Amino acid sequence: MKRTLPLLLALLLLVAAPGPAGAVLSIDIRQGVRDPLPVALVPFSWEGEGPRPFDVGGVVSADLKRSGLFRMVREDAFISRPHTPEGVTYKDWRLVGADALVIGRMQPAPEGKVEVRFRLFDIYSQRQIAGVRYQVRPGGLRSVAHRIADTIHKQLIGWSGAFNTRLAYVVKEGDEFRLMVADADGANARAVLTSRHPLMSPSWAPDGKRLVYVSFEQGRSMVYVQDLDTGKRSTVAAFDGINSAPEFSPSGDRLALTLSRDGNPEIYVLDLGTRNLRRLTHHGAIDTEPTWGPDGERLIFTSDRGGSPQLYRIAAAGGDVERLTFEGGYNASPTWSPTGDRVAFVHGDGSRFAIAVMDLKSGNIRTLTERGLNESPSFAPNGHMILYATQGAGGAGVLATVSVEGNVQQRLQRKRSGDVREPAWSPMR
Amino acid sequence: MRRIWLQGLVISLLVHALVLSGGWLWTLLRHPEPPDRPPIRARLVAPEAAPEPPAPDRAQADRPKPDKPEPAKPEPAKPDQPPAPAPDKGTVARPEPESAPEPARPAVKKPAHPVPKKRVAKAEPDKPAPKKEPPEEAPEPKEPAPAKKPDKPEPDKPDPILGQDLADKIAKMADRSDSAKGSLRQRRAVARFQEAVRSRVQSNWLVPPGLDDRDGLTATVRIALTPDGKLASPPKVVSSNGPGYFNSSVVRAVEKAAPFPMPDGPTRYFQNLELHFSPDMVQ
Repeated sequence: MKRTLPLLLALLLLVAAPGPAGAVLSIDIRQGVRDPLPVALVPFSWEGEGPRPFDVGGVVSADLKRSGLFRMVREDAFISRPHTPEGVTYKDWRLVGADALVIGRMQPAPEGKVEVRFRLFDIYSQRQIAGVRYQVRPGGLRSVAHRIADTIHKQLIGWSGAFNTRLAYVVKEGDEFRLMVADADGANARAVLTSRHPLMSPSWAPDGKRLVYVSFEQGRSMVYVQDLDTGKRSTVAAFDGINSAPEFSPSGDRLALTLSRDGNPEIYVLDLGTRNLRRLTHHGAIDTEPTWGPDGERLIFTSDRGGSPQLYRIAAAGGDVERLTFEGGYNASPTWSPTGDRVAFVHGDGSRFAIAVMDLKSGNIRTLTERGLNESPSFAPNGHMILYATQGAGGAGVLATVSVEGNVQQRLQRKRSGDVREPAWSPMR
Repeated sequence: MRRIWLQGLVISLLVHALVLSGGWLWTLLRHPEPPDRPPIRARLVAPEAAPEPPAPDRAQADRPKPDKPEPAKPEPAKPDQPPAPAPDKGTVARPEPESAPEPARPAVKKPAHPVPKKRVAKAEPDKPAPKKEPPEEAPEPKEPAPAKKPDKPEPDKPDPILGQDLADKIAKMADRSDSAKGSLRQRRAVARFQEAVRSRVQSNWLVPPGLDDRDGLTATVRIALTPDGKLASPPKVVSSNGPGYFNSSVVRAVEKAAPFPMPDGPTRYFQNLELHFSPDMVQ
């Protein structure tokens, strides 16, 4: 009796059980496809008089495409062309193979402004995942387009793009040097300074409105800060000897730079408000190319104190020097990621150089480009892309970008000739 | 004497029966679903899932029989499927950037620096949708994580433990009986089906870039299929340690991969799936 009871209960339960146990089949998915995300963009409507003031949708589309992370679905395949959410039929967009849909409209607004509205839809979860309205003067429409592209990038990829940013770089053509500033897509390129003498090492102030750079216009190296809106500039370092490699601190109130005023190139921090100068390094070797950590507390720089150029780290208040790189005979031109976890640099053997990143936590180095004449890496403000100069087909320097994973690489084409050097990516606008 | 002994035995048996059934009921009440068994979406699929059609309800027989249960969402028919991406896996996306003309401009001139005046970027209201969801993130699992086992009963109460034990045994027995008919052929069918689902989902999963910094990224998606392999309801992310866009990517992969090729014969066993996504970054 005692024994049969559990069995009876068991039988009872068996009958009561709604189906076979373990009826959920388990499947592991470990691999996927590393393809760009297919996005459809319906050209934005213009609901005012006269011609469309600016092709916002076209610029958004070009930005997304250029990032390498999106594939734009061909427009001639579209089944419908909605401008409002009511017109969106998700099935239409699955049929054309889109994972996401961008629609938008442009209307005249008071005071000569233009109102731009855009919406982003996830075709598979069937909902709107972003929607923003802007009112700007027609001159600001290009910037709005970049911001829309940034928002789309953030929603679909997880972090913001760096479309609404600018690049500074030096072009040498003949015996003329030009300090250039252009939008990240190459538009609106203009020279902010032209000189018969070398211009070097441009670097952005954190406000994105000023550049610091080295000019030899006085016959020797001096460091200048120039306001990009007004064109006004001032000399910030004209010490005896070398004045080079300036970089703004993240708060913008200090400058790290290399000076040889005490006889040998050393790293200094210059307080722009008080003009106080603090010497950080004390070594007979060359110490140069300081780059700030995002906390403004530490710097990474290049030194050949170990016999070959290698990266070292030091506190912004001075102190002990810690060597970071041991792999390879040449590690230089560091740029500290805005996210703080990586440093990008030129990694090579002395004749051929790759752009590489080091994970500061693990010390692991990853080479992102082929070896060649690659130089001057600079992080995008989102910390996911690196801008650098490389050698183009004709032997002249061109700009290129590479993602920190190394999987997206591209060259930035320019219509004008000239040797392009020393690029610097601006902060977010 | 003997009678008293017998009485004692009977009483003891009765008490045992009471205690055991009490424990059983307690566990049942406390855990409406038997423990150790992920919830089964029987109600979604049962009518068609049973190996034989259920005896038709007389009242129902007169009424026009409803068509196949429509999936919650319009299901893309096979030809609707976006062509399976078949690019070389190894190639790197290297889009040619568009050349941007660089207009010649006079040097050091006061530039017009247009700063667009943003009039408080207003997020526009969501399109009316059945569910209100924050526009920021991908759908979040509405269900509690299922993997969690129900709390163990307190140790000082013997009954529930017994009940738990029983339920376990029963589940095991049920499993055995299930795999009893799960002959070699059945197991092969299962393996084939798993492989088919895996390859369909994998070829439709666009892994978001830049995930390799995160160790041990996983997401589990539960799906219920109709007997002909369509999604019976939208896939549900039941657990994930990844960001919203990662979850969106796995849901999208499943939606694109459906419908799945169902094996011949009874499909009940193949209709409830749990897909564990854990991107292998080395590939």
